Formats: sequence, structure tokens, C-alpha cells
Amino acid sequence: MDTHDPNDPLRAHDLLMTRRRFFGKAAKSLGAGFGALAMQSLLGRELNAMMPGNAAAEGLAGGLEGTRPLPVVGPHFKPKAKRVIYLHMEGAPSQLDLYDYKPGLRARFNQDLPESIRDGQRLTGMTSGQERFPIAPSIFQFSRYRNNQDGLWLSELLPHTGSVANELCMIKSMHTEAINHEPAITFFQTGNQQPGRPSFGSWMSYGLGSANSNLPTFVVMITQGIGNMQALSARFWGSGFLPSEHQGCKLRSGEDPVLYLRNPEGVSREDRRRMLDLVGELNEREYQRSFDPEVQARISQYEMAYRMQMSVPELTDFSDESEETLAMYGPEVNTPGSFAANCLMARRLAERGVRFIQLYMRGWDQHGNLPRELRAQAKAVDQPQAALLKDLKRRGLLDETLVLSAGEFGRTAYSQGALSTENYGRDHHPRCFSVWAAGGGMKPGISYGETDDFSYNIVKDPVDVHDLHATMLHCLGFDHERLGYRAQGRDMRLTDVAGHVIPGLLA
Amino acid sequence: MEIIADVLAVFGRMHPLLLHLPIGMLLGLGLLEWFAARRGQTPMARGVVLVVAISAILGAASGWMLHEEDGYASSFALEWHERLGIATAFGALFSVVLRFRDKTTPYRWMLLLTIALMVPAGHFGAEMTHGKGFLWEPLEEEETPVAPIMPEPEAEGMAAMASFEQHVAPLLKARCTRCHGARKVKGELRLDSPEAILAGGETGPALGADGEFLRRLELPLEHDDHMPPESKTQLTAPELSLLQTWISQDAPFTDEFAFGEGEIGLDQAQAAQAEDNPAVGQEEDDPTYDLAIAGLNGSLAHWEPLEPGSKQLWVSFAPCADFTNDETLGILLATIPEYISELNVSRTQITDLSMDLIGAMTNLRTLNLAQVMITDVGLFSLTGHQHLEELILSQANISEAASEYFLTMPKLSELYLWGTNFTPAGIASLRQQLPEVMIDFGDSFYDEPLEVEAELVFTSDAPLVDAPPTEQATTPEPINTVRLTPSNTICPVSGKAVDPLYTVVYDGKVIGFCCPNCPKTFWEDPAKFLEN
Repeated sequence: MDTHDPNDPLRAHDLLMTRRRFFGKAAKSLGAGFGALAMQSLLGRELNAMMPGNAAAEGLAGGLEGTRPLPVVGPHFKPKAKRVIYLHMEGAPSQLDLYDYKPGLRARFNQDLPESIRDGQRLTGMTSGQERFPIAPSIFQFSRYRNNQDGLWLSELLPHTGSVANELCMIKSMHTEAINHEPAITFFQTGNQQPGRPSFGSWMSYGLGSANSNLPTFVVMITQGIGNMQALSARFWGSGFLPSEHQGCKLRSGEDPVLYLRNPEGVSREDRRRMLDLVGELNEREYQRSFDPEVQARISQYEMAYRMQMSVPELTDFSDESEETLAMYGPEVNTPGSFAANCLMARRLAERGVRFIQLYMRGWDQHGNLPRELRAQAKAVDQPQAALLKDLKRRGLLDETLVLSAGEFGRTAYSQGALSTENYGRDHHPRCFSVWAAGGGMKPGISYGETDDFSYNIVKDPVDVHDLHATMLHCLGFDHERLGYRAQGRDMRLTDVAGHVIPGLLA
Repeated sequence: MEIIADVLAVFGRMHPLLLHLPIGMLLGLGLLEWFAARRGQTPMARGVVLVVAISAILGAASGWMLHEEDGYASSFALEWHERLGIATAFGALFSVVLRFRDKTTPYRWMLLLTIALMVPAGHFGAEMTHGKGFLWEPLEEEETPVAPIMPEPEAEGMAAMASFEQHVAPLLKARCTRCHGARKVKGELRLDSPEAILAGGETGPALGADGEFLRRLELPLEHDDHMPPESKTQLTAPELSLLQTWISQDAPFTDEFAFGEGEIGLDQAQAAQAEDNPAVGQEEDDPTYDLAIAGLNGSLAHWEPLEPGSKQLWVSFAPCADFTNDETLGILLATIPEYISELNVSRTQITDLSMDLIGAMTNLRTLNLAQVMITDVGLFSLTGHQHLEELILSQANISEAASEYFLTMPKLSELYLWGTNFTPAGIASLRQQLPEVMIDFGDSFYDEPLEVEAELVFTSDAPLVDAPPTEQATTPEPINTVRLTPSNTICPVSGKAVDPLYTVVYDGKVIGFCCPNCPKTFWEDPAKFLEN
């Protein structure tokens, strides 16, 4: 059927989608570039005129270099934060040994966790066989650092983070429902324990759009840990039911952040451009025939790769950083793939307008050998994350960048495995854990929420994962109930059907 | 008596009518006498000459009566018109006397003289009525026609701002000053300068609610006193409305006044209110703005509305910092400086040359100049900026000499100076001078903790939460403390030996299991396992 009339029922069947889906997806492709230009000439006039954002496309100068992506949803009100840096501590760091100071537990060494406190919390398969649940107080010494309240207690493992305590919004009363890693991380990233939903970064790519068409909107970097590591699925930065161009772009940890980015020997950039033009044209015809938005995503990914050939080498070249800055991030900053290097990269990405930068630090799952492993883990992140905050602050970027450091749940007060005064382990604990945020509209220098003496239950100001998402979306200028996308028959949103913005966390 | 004066006044008003007779007749008689003289014929009949003379005398007499009554300002033209007109009348009189005495040749010469006097008299009379230079005017250089300019509102639904100089004066010049200006001063009123307007005319001040100016403008067209006169181009309704508004505002000559319906435009009364919220939701179509947006779209710079629905912009050159310089910045933003509320030019190649443009961005709130090679000289362009709140100068090439500029920014609240040439002493001094401003020098962090925990000692001394308060309990019981003796020795689920730690109470009996997992299986189907 060759008609282009969108009202033709046969045509509509051909498309196998509603017009809203077609217009919605087609309009939101990232960096449409050649696609937008070509579409204007290839598409029928009526379709072309009806595509949202075409008024902006009219102003396109010739050529790819200056193409602005088609408009996106846009914030609902004036945002405080323009971008997010999310440091995910994968494996669930122990809040008792890092953030949640419980000196009273020192006098309960090896006592059993009282039943009234445990209150029927389900056990994981790893500790359900334990005869006893002896309390393991933290063997790390805590110090109180200056903040905008009466000081923030942090363990000796985080001295550098202590020095930036006056910027941290420490939330001690986070809670979740999931007890194992995969569903818990899925929950934290997508708002639902079952997979299939878009991640936070994808929602931001969809909602805010790109601020730098030469780089991906959503970048992911992973650091291998020292401690026990759990699986990390690409699904955690996937786009779910949102168009594929909103998925996270993972930069590799080695020398070459993006494989095969460089042109091979003998292929110049102009050759590459001509190749892309031809492939783009072929894809365009396919798109014309099927209106499959994935084709559009493919076109835009090719264009993005072309631009990244120029932008990524400049990004990853740290030679323009001063010695002092490099030293601030710690000795590992020159090791590609280390957390320090990734933090510096995150700052550079933030400077260049990338919207959502996600760092995964693996290896926090200390079921056993916690003192030794946690020391090494914390050492790897403490100085870099503090340096990141300091660096953002002194460049004036911290008040428009929302930094979040979070695990997927907490750890138990009782020891998993044998307890001694030198060694213990901790099992998963969803009922309370600590996360911190900084910058971007979050209130600096406070500690929010309280747990009981055993760091087992929350006694004050609980913060659900949905609540945290809603609050962060608020800082980014979105009403979490209005930022949605129709999929599977209903309007989906990041906060699902829950979530409240928590005013106590906002600056 | 009054009536005589009135009658004479009526007679005077016949002057414009009567004067045409002697003009025509004198000329006609003159022509005839000339032909007659050439042919040697006798002069015209006495009666004819008498009638011509009478018309001339009546013309002059009516003119004299008119002068007495009508308000003609004394001028060169009027004086000479009067003199020459009277001379013409006398000339005509002498002509008729000579004719009656049959002195043909003197008569003819006198007639010629009379005509010679009449011509300039008529000319000056016409000048009085139609203005100086009336005759030759069409041959003169084309003077730029003055078209009245109507004030335009800035946006739909808003009032326009009008001024005397821009709108009222051209209107008066186009419609009024022909007769009320330098050439002609009807009613002794000149309308070609503010002083003259204020001075008024024959009947007194022209302005004011009861002045003649407005009164005559508002009279119906048929009324005699209506201005402009019926034969001249009339004022259009908006033009009349403009003059009415102007009068109602007390006829300001220097200030602007609002004209039309709607609110006063933004740059008037709302300017003070718009401090916090500059120009949110401007509705008008601004082609300059649209063009600039198109230009930004064609570049790599990123722009966004500051908030939904606003025309104010956040513009960031971060994506193309490497090749953004003074020229490109100027090309993209020079036409819309007032629309920029947040500007990020960090890491670009701009220099002090662009600072003038940036200084012209009056609505700027946040400015990021990190790592930009500007100096104190460029920073000078920002002095006195009324709205700037956040200024990021990290790693810019500025020194303490720029301190004084910061003092001139009333709204400044955040200042980033790390990496500049400031010294700690300079920063301290600046902080003292600007206590309300957050001045960051990369030094806002405290490395030393306030307090360190005392040495750690692990004991189990704390009282148990759940157990009753007893003295002993140093070795806490395991959780699954068995107080009951199981009634079996073999685990009903697995068949292994019973561990007394794991028991359940079922149906009044204590049943022991081998491990903690078997009770789960037992509960699935207790009856089945009980048989064991």
C-alpha cells in the first residue's frame, strides 16, 4: 500500500500502532539530525506539518553539526537541578559501619537481637539457618563532622566524606521492600521490583532531553569492587518501554571508553560521514515503510556515535586537569575504570552538560569479612566522592547538580556467620538504610530521619524509595505524578502509584 | 447702536465677495482701454467707469470693516494689503473723476496705476488668507510631507506610550500649523511650538478642558467653529482621541502618556514589579526573538526556557565551548540580550570583548565564566548590574582589583572565586565587605572533625531488651531455647535424630525435629507427618 494518508485504515493497520505513539516516539528521537532533515523531504506534507517541534526544525542550518534535537517533555516548573550524578553502591553498603552511629551497640556485643526488634522480618536463605543472631557492633570509630545541624557522625572509613559533611543531605531512614539484590536494584532504579520499566536516567533523558548533542544523555560507568560482587544487569540502565534512545550509554572501564569509536586505518571522518549518510538513507526508507520507532532510534544512535568520535577523546583526556585537581581525587585517578577516575569523568561530563551520570561501585555485599573488605571498599570511594563534591562546588556547579549516593538496601545489626571482636559479616536488611544526597536543590548539611538503637527499624521520618524519587524529580522540575508515559494500557511513571515529595529534604 | 455695528460687520464680511468685482472689472476695463488706446478710440462709457470705481471703493470699504472686526494679526502682508487696497480705491476714484472730466490720457494712466496697485494688494490679501508663499508653493522644493504618527502599543491588550514630541507635534504640524503656524496665525494662535501652544490665542489659552483647542476639535463638522475647517483634511477618530487623551493628561510636553486601552506596558509601571520575574510570559510576537532562537537551533549551543511558558532563556555553550568565541557569541546573542536569564560560557574562548554584550543582559541572574580568559577590565562591564545573583568566576583571570565591582551588584548572593588571582587576605576582606554573599574560594570544607569517639570497648553489659530484668544473663540463651522436651526422638520429616533445639507445639504435644527447615515441611501437611 503506497498511500501516505494516515487516515487510511489499511495504512494504520500497516503501522500497527496508534498515531499518538508514532508522533510521540518519532518526535522524541535524540539528535535526529539527518533523520529530521530527511524526514521533512521524504514524508508527506500533512504528516510533516503535524509533527511537534517542526517549527524548531525549520531553523536548521544545513549539515549535521548544528542540529538541535527535537523538543522533549520539558520540566513542569523551574528546576533547581539540571543534571544528576548518581553513585550507586551496588551490593548494599553497611550503614552501621559507615553512616548510622549506634554507640549503644558496643555494650551489646554478642547479645541476641531481641524479638521485639526483629518483629518477624523475613530472613534470607543465607541466615535462615543461623542458630543465633548476635549483635555485631561496628568495629570502626566514628567522628562527628561539622554540618548545618549539630554535626554528622561518620565512621573512620569516611574521613574525606566527613570534610564535605556540610553539603550532605544524609537520609538515615530509607526503607525498601526487596531483600535481594536484583529486585532491589531494579526497584531503586526503576520504581518497581519486576523488570521492564525505564530507569531513572531514562526518565530524565525523556523528560529533560539532552543538553549536549555531542554526548549521550545518560552515561553509565562501572567500577569493579574489592569485596564480594553481585551481578549487574544492563537492564538497570535500560529504557524499558521508553524509546531506546533513552537507554544509558555504558562507557567501558578500560583505556577505550567506547569500543571501535576510532575510525580504522584508512577511513577518514569524511568517509565515515558519507557512509552514515548512505546508511541513514536506507534506514530512512525502512522507517518510511514501517514507521518503526526503533529504526529512528538506530539512526540517532549512529549519529550519536559519529559525534562521540570527536567528543569522547576530548572528554577522557585528563591532561587538561591540574595536578592539584588530580591529587584531590586520590592516587587512583589515573587508573582507568577506578572509582576515582570515574568520579573525575563524572565531573567532566557534568561540565559538558550530560544529564544523568550513573556510577556503579560494585563489591559492597559484605556477608562475611566485613572489616577487611569494607575498609578497602570505603578507601576506594571516600576520597573520590568527596573530591567530586568539592570540585563541583568550587566550579559553581554543585547547586545545579544533584548528587546521590545510595545502596539498594541496608545490612543487619546482627552478624552473619561467626562473630568475633575482629571479624563479622552482615546480611541484607531492607527495613532501614542510609543514603546521602548533595546539591541540586537538596538541603545541605542535614541529617534526616532516625532509626532505633539497633539500626533495625525506623522511628522517625521514613523515606520510601518512591519518596526519594519523587523528591529528586521535584528538584529536577518535575511533578512526579505528571511525568508519565503510556505503556501497557496505563500511564506509567517512575514513582508508580506511590511517592510523596518530602519537603524536609528540599533546600 | 449695536445694530449698526453688526450691520457694518456683515458688510465687512462681504469683503471676500466684493473684492472680486473690482479685480475683475478693473482688469477688464484696463484691457479695453488699452485696446482702445491702440486704435485711437474713445474711452469707455462714463457709467461703466463709475460702476468699476464704486466696486473698488466698496471692496476697500468692506475690507476696512472686516479689519475692524475679524481677528487678523497685524503683519506685513496685512498692512500692505490695507494700504494698497485703499490706494486702489483712491486710484479708482481718481480714475472716474478724470474720466468725467474727459481727460482721456490721464484717466488711462491713472487706471493703469490703479491696476498696478491692485495686483500687489490682491496678492497680499491672498497671502493673508492662504499663507505666505501660497502662489509659488507648488514650484518650491517638495517639503517632506509630515504624516501624523500614531503610537503603537507594545503588545496586544496593552496601552501604547505616546509623547508630545513623537506623536502630538507631528499631528499638529500636519493638520493645524498651516493656519496656526509661522506663515499664518489664525485667531492669533500658533500651534507649532510648546510655548506658542501654551500662550494661546485671541480668546485666551487654547489648552485646558474649557479651552478653544479641544472645544473646536470636538464640535460637529457642520459647526462654523469646528476645527479643522470643513474644507481641510479632517482628523481621524484615533487622531482626535490622541489629542483628547493628551489634553486629559494635562498636555504633557516632555513626559510620555498612556494612550489606548489596556495596561501600561512592561517598561513602565510594572518595571519595578518585574524585578523578580522578568518578562515571564510575554505574548507578543517578536521576530527578533524568533530569529535568534532559530540561530541558536542551528548552532550547538543549548538553550531552554527558564521555566515553562517563559521567553527568558537559559543558554549554555558547554557543548561547543571549544569553538565559541567573541564573534560567535555576538552572532547568536547580540539581538536578544534582555532575554538571557542564565548564561553558561564556561570553558569558551571568549574574551573581555564579549563582556559588553554580557553586561547588556539586564535580566541575567546566573553567569558562569569559569575558566574563561576574561580580566578585571572585562568584569567592569558588569558593574552596577541590577539582577545578577550568582557569578561564577572560578579559574578566570581576575584579581583583587575587581573587588570593588562586586560591591555594586545589589542582588549578588553567590560568588565563586576559586582559582582566581585573589589572595586569602583579599577574600577575607571581600567577605567582610559583603557579609550577605556566599563567597566560595574552594575553602568551604572542614577537614577536622568536631569530635572523635572514645576508644571502643565491647561488652555485653547492656540490659537485654526482651528478657525480664535479672542479674545474670551474661551468656544469653540462644533464640530457640528449648523449654519443652520433645515427645519423639526421630524427626517425622527426615527420619534423623531429633535436635531438642527445634521443636514445635502441635495439638498439645511437643514434637521435635532435626533441623530448622523441617518444621516448614511439617506445617504443610501436619497430619501426614504425625503418623510417623
